[in-house]
Amino acid sequence: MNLSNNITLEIFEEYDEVTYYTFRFLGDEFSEAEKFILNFIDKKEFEEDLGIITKMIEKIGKSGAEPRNFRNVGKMRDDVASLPEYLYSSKLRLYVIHISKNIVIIGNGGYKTTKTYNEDPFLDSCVSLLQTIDFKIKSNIKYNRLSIINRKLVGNLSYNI
Amino acid sequence: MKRNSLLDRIRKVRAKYIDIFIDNSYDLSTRIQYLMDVKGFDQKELAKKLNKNESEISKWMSGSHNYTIKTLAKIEEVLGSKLLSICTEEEYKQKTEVVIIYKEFLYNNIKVDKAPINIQNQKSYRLNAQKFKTLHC
Repeated sequence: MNLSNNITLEIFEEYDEVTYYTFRFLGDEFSEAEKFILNFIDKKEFEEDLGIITKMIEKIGKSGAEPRNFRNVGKMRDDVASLPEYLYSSKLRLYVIHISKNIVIIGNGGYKTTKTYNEDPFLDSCVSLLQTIDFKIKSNIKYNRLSIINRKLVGNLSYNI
Repeated sequence: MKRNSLLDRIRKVRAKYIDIFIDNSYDLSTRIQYLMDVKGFDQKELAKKLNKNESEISKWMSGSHNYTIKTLAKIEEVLGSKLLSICTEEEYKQKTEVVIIYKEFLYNNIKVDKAPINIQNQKSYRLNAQKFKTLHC
């Protein structure tokens, strides 16, 4: 449970066409993307799914982040999605914000046991958090406190949630 | 280029078949998207022609879908162009020389890559290449 409500965006991985960001709560040892990985990395039953997710991150990173690579999960007005769009063998869900063809922000996620993510309190909180961050980013871009320059976010990267 | 150490741990143990699977699925979806653009189809139109739901087409185009051969055959029929080729035994035996293949990616703003690739004893098909030149030496 995060006691801090201050988050900072940081670069997670970089590729020719895509810069992946994640975010970290103030004082946390791990970023949200790392927390997702740590939750499943030592579980044999998720080895294939994690392999697919890492390979997709590389593939999208080299080609560009196209809308078809993601499944929108939020509302019409936000860019929150799950990656990859379809894992045929699992209900593992990693949630992201698809900012543009060149910038993706990776959040947290988990194993979906309910019909919709809204019915799972943790998954619902992951999506809600990303929706809030998506709003903050768009607001900062609108008021020139944040820009996208050469596949990087430049400007204000810290927000109170 | 920055890489995350936890993801690198996963990459070290990742099975080779996952790389092959995603490479093939991703390249297939890019090829299908290209052919759809040429034909002027959107996902809704393709779904209609294949008698499928649009959501199913969306899954196919994700880049991580496990296509069946039958599905690929139906898509080929509608789009009127080859999606896959399979090396035959005769082709495999004939290729005893080094084959240098140039591939140029001109579709979907993928970077132009003119680096030669040395491949022995097999043809390689890059499904998302618009131009494809093979030089036998």
